[in-house]
Amino acid sequence: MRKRLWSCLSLLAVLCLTLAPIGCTALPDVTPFATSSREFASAVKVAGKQVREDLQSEPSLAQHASTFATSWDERNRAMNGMIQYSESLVAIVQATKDARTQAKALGDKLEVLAGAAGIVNPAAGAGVAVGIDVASFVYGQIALVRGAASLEEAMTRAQPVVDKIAEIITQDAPNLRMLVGAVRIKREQNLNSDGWEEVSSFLAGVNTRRTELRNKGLQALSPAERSELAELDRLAAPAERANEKFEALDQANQEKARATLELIEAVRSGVAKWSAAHRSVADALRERQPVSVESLIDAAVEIRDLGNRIKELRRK
Amino acid sequence: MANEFNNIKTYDGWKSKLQEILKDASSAAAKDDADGRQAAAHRLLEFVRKSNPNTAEIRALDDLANEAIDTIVSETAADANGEIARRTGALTALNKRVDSIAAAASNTAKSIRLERAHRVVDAMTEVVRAADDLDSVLTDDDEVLRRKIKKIAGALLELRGEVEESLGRRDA
Repeated sequence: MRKRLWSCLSLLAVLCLTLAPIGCTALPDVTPFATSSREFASAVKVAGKQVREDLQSEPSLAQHASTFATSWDERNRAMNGMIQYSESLVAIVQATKDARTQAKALGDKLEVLAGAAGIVNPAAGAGVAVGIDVASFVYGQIALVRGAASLEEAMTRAQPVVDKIAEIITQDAPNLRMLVGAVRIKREQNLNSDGWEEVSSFLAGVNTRRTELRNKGLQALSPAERSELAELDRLAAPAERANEKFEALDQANQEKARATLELIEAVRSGVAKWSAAHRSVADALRERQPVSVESLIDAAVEIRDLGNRIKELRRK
Repeated sequence: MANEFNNIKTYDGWKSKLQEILKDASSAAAKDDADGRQAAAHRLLEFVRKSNPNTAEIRALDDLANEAIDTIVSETAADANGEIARRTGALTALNKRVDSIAAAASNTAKSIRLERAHRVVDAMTEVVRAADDLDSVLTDDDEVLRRKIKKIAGALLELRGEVEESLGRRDA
């Protein structure tokens, strides 16, 4: 038994020397990346939903809404996949942290098994407990190496995927702006059809004549011209009020479009931060450097802010 | 407020302005200039509002302007959707890779947590308990079966030793 204990301790010493390159330290915290992935996925989903709803609201563009929705679903699926992926990274780091406890629990279960079998273990006693503790510690260190290797492998494999998703969403941004612009134009055209064109054309004609008369100077106007100007002012008044209403409606449409464009821009800038956060963890793992937790947290906070801004914009 | 329509006073003036905007729209479309096309559409919207008086001839120009707006809107939406859809194929392939990477990472996490080893030991414990229950109902006539159960218990003890040895080396 003593011999076995010593062999365990020797193995422990060898392992600590072998593990020196990663310093027997914990793996980097990947939770900020997982958090930013969730926040960013939500932002992508909200932006797509907003554009789809805008297209659906215009009958002549409704056919484009379903085509767009089909395409955007694939982006949502990609981001959901990235959530699963980032959570599996967190699971590796957590499993590595828990490895020693899990190994110890397994040893304890084996003791329970022996008890259940009614078999007296000839090696039972303090020596066995020490053996399990040492084995658990050794396993914890091995798990650390396995965790680091697996994490590095997963992140190295995923980096091109993350980059491509980021590239696609960046390229989508101008197309989303085009769709928002198309809706905005259609809404303005609808206002024209609803009477803005009539009111505005009438006012344009009236104002041209009023400007001609006023440019002559009031003193130079003949009595007929003065009464014409008065009549034009009388006719223009209700048209101006109607025009103001149409302008207010157009302004509201512009505000809506601007809010959606802000949202798209937020997604476009967010995707760059998100992919950079992934790259920083992957690089740190590869180079065995400490991860810049601050930059990851900053990215997560920025993307969380983006989420809050999106919610605010949607309430408008 | 001064704009490009303020000094137009005749039908020919309006017609000429419409032709100018349509030419700009056409030129933007030829260059795939989405912003230029949308800018032309906004000018056409204003043309429709500013053109006057609303005679049949002017209304005919407005109709042409509205048709051009419809074309720009429809082509803009179709082009944007087409570009987005073109990139979707690449995403579909990426999604499969993401799933595969996530599944591999998740399996690694399970392996590090010794989940399989835990499941094996739990199952073995259940077998031993079941065997113990069975032993309690056996009679003297079941000596052969009892010996077999003891043999199984012995084999499980050996297995336990091996699993314990493997701790720190690999997942069971």
